[in-house]
Amino acid sequence: MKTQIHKLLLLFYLIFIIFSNVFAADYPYVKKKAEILKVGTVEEKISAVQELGRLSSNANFVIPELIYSLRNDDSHDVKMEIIRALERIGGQANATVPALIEALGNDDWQIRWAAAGALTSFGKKSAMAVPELITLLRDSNDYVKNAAIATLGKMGPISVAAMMDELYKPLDYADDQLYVQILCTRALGALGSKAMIAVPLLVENSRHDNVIIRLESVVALRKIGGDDAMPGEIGWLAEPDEMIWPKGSRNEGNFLMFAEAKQMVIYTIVNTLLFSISDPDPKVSYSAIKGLANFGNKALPVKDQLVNYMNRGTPIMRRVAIDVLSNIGDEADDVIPDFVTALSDFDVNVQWAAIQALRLKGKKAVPELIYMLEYDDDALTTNILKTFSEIGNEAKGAIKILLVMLQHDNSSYRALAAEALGEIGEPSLLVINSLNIMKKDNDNNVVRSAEWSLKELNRIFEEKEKNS
Amino acid sequence: MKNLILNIFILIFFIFLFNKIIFAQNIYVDLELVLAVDVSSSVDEEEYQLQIRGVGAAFRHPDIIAAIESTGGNGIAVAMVQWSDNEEQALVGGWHIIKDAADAAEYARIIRRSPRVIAGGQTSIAGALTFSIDQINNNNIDSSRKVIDVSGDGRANNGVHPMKIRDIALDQNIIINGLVIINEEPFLDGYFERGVIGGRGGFMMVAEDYRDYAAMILQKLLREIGMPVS
Repeated sequence: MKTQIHKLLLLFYLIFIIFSNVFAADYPYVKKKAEILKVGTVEEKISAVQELGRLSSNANFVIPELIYSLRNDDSHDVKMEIIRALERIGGQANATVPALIEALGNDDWQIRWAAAGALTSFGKKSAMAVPELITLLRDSNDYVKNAAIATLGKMGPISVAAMMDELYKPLDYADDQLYVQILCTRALGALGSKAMIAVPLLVENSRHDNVIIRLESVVALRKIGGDDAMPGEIGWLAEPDEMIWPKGSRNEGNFLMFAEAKQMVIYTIVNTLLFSISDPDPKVSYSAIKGLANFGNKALPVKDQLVNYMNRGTPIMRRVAIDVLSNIGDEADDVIPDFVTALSDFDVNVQWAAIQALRLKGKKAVPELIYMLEYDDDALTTNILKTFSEIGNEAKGAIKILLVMLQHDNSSYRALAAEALGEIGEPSLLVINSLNIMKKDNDNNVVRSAEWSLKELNRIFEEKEKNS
Repeated sequence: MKNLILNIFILIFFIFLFNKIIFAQNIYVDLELVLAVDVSSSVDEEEYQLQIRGVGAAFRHPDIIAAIESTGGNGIAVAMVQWSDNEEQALVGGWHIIKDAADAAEYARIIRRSPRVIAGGQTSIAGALTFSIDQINNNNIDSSRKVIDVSGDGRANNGVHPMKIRDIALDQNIIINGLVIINEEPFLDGYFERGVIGGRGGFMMVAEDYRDYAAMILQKLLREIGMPVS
């Protein structure tokens, strides 16, 4: 009986909670908050507007009152709060978007900045704001410019044509035309595949006389063609408006199939990047190489050139060349010896890139790593031992040599070898006994490394026992 | 007899209390550092691996070890936080005091093996900051410098604006530094600069993508722990 009463009370309580929340946002309540906009003090107005913003779409029907106050209230703070509230409510785009467009022309830069940002939440419905947002790219305030370009960069295809128009204009069109073009090119890159229609123009600009335009175009092409940015056919069929193909996708009067068109765009971008590798400016060349890392074995035609950069380029070039080569896959397995050599590079970041490249190669890299241990070069040996740890279980072919390394005079090698044995994770009696001996080493680092590996091997052993 | 038992109980109680006070004493280090790593849905498995392996590699770098050893024996305290949306944060592996090369190597091993405990989710930088502040305030460690090192590849799309929590951190003398990965949002650095980083000497570094993460985190840790960037 008692339990039933408790359950009943709980039910009443839940009903009360649900109803109190529903009626908290009912018509009279919301209207009352909107009334404060006419008669309240600045503080009261701000508090009421914040409350309306929190109600989100429940405050939809007071949008006209908010817009009226945005136009007529004297307080800067109230206007700022109204813009934030309109962004959160997000409804009645037909009325809200024109009001925000009007605010884009306000003398107060913060109002312009907030309005430009607020338009982001209206997506395609804010299409009519594109010309004003483009105008704001020439605003005197940098925050406003950045807010405008960020909104354009999130709108989707509707903003692409307007931004392309800016790129067609000559650089002497206006004092700040170069800056505007930089912003537009970056925003096109940010749109990814949604800006695919801009690919031919960006390809053209990747050969521009101005080095900054070339650089930004290459970066944008990289982003548009990046694997993650290219949608699959299912995604495209679900929302065809989100992607516009370049004019070249027509072939003898017929539309190319999705896969062919996608291939064509990627082919164009990769070819541009391959061409830009030879750009006289090192930044453009670097950016083109970096871009190729997204295209796997499509970088194969420039493999020899990349190996050349890996051996003779600047440290940053060497690092990025390793990244690209490691992403080519099996067709670049013959580069493994070059990766191993790069482990002794004087730049630590190049060394790390080589370690990661060899990790991706897995057991195919192990014989060369073992072979190069014979050189007994300090940097090389240290990084080979680190690489075995990074490769993990696939490096079990190195167990024998690692057991030998446990006896080395250099305590740092002993510690790294002990650690690698734990990471490889083969709990054989020989490995466990050898690590147990290392627990008596006179170097604390070696002892802790051996203890850690023994713990790890013990865990693996117990798991195997449990499974068998 | 009754009084004797009562006295024994009182004595035990005071011994217990005394022990608690003694053992609850905070450890003093030169720097408390939270590495708040983005594991939202925009970060795939390989990108996650590049982050944790990059952090692990940095803690093996001789310059980092030299910087730690130059703290006069106090060392530094480090913790890794994984974060995504407002409800998803986790302290991975707890706090670690690093005083020498052996401690640093141990921490590198732990970090490299850290599993991804949050599968994905939206991006709440405010959630990450709030959680990291709590970890600093409740870790029984004292220091003269407290830093949250937040890395991410996107703006917040969940939770309150990070600016609000940033200001709370600054009020508590906690510095927020940023490592911004601009592979998805090319204007993200400006967002971090205005709304996320702050505090005395607070700074931000930009990585073009996750392949650059290891190089950037190394430079960043060198600056945070106290060595000039070479």
